[in-house]
Amino acid sequence: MRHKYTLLFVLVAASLPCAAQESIAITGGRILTVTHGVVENGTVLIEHGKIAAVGPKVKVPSGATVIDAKGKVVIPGFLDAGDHLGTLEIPAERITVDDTEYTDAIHPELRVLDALNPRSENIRVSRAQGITNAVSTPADGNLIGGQSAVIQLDGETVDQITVKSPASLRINVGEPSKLTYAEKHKPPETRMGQMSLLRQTFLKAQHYQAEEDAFTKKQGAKNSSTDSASGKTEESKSGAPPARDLKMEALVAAMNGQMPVVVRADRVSDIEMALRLAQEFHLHIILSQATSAWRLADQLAAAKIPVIVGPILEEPGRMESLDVRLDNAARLFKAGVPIAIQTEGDNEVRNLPFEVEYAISYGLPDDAALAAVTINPARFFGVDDRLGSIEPGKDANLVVLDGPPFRVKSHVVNVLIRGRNLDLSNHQTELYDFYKKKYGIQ
Amino acid sequence: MLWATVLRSAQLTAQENDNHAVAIKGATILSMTHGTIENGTVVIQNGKIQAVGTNVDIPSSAEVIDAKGEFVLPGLVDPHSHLGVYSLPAVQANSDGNEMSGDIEAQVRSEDAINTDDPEIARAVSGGVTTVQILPGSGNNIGGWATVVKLNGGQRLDEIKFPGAPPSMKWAWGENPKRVYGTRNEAPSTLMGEAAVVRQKLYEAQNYLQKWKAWEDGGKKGAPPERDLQLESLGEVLQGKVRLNIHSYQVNHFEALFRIADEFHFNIAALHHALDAYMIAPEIARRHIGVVTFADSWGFKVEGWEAIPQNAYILWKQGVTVSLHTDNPVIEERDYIEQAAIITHYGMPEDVALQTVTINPAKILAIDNRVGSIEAGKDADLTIWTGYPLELTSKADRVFIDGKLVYTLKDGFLPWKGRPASLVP
Repeated sequence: MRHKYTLLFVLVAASLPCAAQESIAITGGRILTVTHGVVENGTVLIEHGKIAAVGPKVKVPSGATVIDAKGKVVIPGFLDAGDHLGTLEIPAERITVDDTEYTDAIHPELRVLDALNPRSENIRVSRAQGITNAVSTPADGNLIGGQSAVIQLDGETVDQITVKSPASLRINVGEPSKLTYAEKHKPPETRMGQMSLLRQTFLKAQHYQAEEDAFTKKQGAKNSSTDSASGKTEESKSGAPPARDLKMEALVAAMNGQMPVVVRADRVSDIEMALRLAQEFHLHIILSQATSAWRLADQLAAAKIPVIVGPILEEPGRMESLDVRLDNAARLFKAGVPIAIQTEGDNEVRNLPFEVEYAISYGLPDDAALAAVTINPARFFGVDDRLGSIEPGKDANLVVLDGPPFRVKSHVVNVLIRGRNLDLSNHQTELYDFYKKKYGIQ
Repeated sequence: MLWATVLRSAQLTAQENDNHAVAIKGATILSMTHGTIENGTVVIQNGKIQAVGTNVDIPSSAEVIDAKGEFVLPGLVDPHSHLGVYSLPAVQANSDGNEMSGDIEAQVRSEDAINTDDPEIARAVSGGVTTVQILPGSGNNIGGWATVVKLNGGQRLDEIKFPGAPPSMKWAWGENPKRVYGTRNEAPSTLMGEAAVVRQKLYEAQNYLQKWKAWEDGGKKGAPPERDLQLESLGEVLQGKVRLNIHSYQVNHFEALFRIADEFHFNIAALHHALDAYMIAPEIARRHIGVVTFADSWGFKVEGWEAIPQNAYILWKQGVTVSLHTDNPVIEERDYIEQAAIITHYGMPEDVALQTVTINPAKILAIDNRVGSIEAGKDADLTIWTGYPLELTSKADRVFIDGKLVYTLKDGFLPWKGRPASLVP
């Protein structure tokens, strides 16, 4: 199947220049590994940007740079399960916004990858609060918004900041695309329109794949026949392949399970619509936002449908979000639904730890909360071989805190991405330093 | 202002209060003006705080609430909200905060739009918020009159209006008005245009005042001049009768406003949002202007690009009376306390952070004789928190407004208990 070759999956190799080459040992800290419990007074050894060893008795090689984490807490960097980092800078200035385009309700071919700006100030500001990775996602105004990317918040080039692209296909049912296209008097103006358009589009993609498969099969038959009949190569050149279609290729990739489909749906009926779509086209779906998911918790748990909850602090501002509750994450977790937490933010991504604190306040256990912004989203998006826990072989994306995570009183001391101990300054810290000095504030 | 209405609502509030005494015992009392009292007692009766301290006589008839391990904080005061004028849910039908049919809307009053059934009222009280200033939006340079309310669940506006709160008006400077009118090819489309439009209007208001004065000085002979609601409202500003709350972000906005205030001899009560206020903190302090700002909101517009989360801290250090706000629905009213928590994360001392959501906004609204601290004689607007209020895991356990229990963690917002929900569950 041709699309396997034509769909570019970017998986950044571990040897890019932004990975630190030196050995670093973070010593004496309370290590929350996420997948293997807590190590008290432990050491994390980092080599070539990867975690080399974790434990209470790790030998620190001579010459290693030591980060003393005594009395501190070491956690994997946060992976925000959905936001718009790198694709927009100042939301009110259209010229800086690249997170989707409203030229068509069906845009599966758009890739966040092509919009990422590694030099975004939002990236520098966000990482200073311990966010090392994010699933940068197309905006929600289109029915099919495009392909998201898992990024890391350090690097000079798009190649360097990209961990995985495409990470998922984004579908949005409910209010936003209705609002976008009702104004233009184009489909979809209703939820009926949304579902009929989605089904027609996926049927078209199935047909596209069938034509592809038929052509490949025919080619295979010809090739084998020309092989046996020596010299008759002209026949194999005959018959042009079906025209390539970027939209169809992305949808086919989703139908073949090459990437999950993240469906943003709030109302119960919208979640049901997403489940119907998934069933009909065998899509591996993840629900996003899902303010009413708590009402369907048992059903989602039984069907093993993951849910990305958030933003946590949301008011019942939309007709589709009237069911929003601060304990949505806790209820889903208790029912056995795999959950992740997202900010859905741009300039607010750095407040992820405070949002998570509210989820904890409303019943989500601390360790489940940490998993919801580390290993769980890493698994959802197939990057758990590199991200989401403190285990040997994974990227050394680590945060040292002066207290437990998700507490306003705790502060980030160090952020490492692929073993690079980052400079946490940004435009705001520079402004603060300037005026502090000007006024003589300590 | 209709003072008769204000007086009537004060009487109603007094009648509706139940007069039995309540003593909250054993809690840590965060008084805001007289420090922290461990294991203290607050006695409330007749809607007022009767006594506060460690050694307080509890009337024998008093209902005693054992609040051991809990914290008592004054009800939060939000000086900048659009509660009720942008009711939940945020559908078009509920959009009543911006009369964008002209850039000068001094004549419009938020009180004529406030929905006393806004579901956010119950949600706000669950976050310990008890007093809110409701402002028109920022689409116009002059947005209209503000209204200060208590979130007591009253059905009629008269029941929720804060009795005796000084008249207060909303102005706005910067990107919003010039975007609204600039995109229509109307004035103002630049900062120059904003200043010119407002100055011209203020001249007209001066002329209007003179016309009335001439008629009065001339023995009120003949028909009085025709009344003009807009110029009358601006005339009150020129006469120094109005507390001005001005949405503004950048130093050039602040300075344009200072020039106009100096030219027309009026005062500015507070700069609102004011993300760059830290850059000229000494000048703002010198002018005794308050600042009402976000804890951490930046980058959403160019005029928000220089924002830092230490804005409030620097302003406090430089002697400015600084308050936080929600700008509800920008930040949900319910989550106001998080704003104070966030500034502590960036260095603000905890006791000052609590003042920025209680006594400081009360000062900015000039209602600090009534609310904002726990002192004998003040309104009994109190929240008992399950833990230290700046820890986000703490929750409001009980909320009192004018001495009346309006919320419990168990039963929710009591004035609306049993009432069928409208749209928002």
